[in-house]
Amino acid sequence: MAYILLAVLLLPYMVLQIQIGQAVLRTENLRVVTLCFFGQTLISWKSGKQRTVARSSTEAEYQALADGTAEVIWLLHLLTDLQILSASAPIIWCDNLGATYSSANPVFHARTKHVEVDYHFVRDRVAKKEIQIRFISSQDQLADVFTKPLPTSSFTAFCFKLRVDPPPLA
Amino acid sequence: MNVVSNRWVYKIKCRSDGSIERYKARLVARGFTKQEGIDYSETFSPVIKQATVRLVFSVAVSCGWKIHQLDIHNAFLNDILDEKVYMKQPQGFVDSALPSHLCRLHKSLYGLKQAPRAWYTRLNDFLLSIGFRASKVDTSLFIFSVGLDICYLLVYVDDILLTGSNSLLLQRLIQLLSSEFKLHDLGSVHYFLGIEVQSTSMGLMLFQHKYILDILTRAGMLSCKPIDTPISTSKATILLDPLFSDATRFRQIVGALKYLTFTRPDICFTVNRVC
Repeated sequence: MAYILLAVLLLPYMVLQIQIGQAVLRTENLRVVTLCFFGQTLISWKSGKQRTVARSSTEAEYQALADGTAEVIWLLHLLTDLQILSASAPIIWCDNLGATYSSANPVFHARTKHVEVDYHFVRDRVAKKEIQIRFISSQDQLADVFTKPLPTSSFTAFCFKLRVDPPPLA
Repeated sequence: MNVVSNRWVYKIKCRSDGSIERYKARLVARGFTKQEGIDYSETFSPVIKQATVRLVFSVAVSCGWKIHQLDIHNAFLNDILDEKVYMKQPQGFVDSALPSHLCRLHKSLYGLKQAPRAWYTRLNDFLLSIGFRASKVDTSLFIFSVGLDICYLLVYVDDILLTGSNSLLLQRLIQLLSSEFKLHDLGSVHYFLGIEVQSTSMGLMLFQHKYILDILTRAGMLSCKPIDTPISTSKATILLDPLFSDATRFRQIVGALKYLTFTRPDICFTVNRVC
């Protein structure tokens, strides 16, 4: 049995952070994951099969980025309703360099030809400085536990990072 | 004209530790005998989103606010019906002089198709009238702000969570609510939507201990040996267990597991895989 711990953070402003991850399984399509953290607390997560066909990992990651952006915008509206202001624009951590670069630089690459709609949607938000997109290496991102079966050691490590803790000794 | 039949429902209410709180008998209308357009029109009623609950918990914990849980007694019986609904006389209470007479319902009953919506509309109207503002992105979240103080109110049908920066303001809002509805202030939240909430020195801990035991009991796996990870890394999951020959039962358990992901993101992938 494990618990989720919601941590206390006494910072005046907590930054919304999103992690986007993906993994290819032998037998299935690509899986995409979106994790949203507020401060250190995981508040929203989604693991699912990819919704459309992608011809490259950059393309797939870019589609995931568009989904993640939509989720962030929803959470930003929610925070505005709660009258909580963030000190900086929310950060989306993406583990694919190609997708990270395409979100900032308006150059179409051969591998991103077919994602124009998602492309414009995300780029528009980045240009308006509503969100920031940064690169995170695959080792550091937390999405793996949502995309593939893991051996005990890494599973426990991920649970710890997601703040799913074992029960305290009663 | 369509006549709705009714039935008595008996239930044992349990506390979060599983002990018996009280026995309950309730008259319910058999809403499935109703016809759309005659007895009811709109039935959709919004509920709070999981992400909103977690976000508000997180904000409340960070700011050190107390989270009040309020329980409305017989919420669905409060609402005035717009439509004309006729019901047979309740079993055991049939007037012996006029056994063929019907009841015309003025107020809502449990089991009626429009009951949840009527209740939501009534609560919504009342909250707006006392100065709350409904959130645009989640219609079950209400915000009350005066000066620098702010209160959040989350509605899940008849379960209400209230938190805010000023405890005097919270008390006043609870008083206002109890002047309109018969409600019970359960104090700090400890059992909400089947989720147990415990406050510790580090924050709030959410867990579904009782819910997990219920699922295990239902699946007949209470005495199974525990394992460290939810899914094997080596071989593909083979679903040949006799438990899974019954599709309905399999879906019931998967559905139950999906709700468990509220506090267990670590099993999210595995649950998604068996769907």
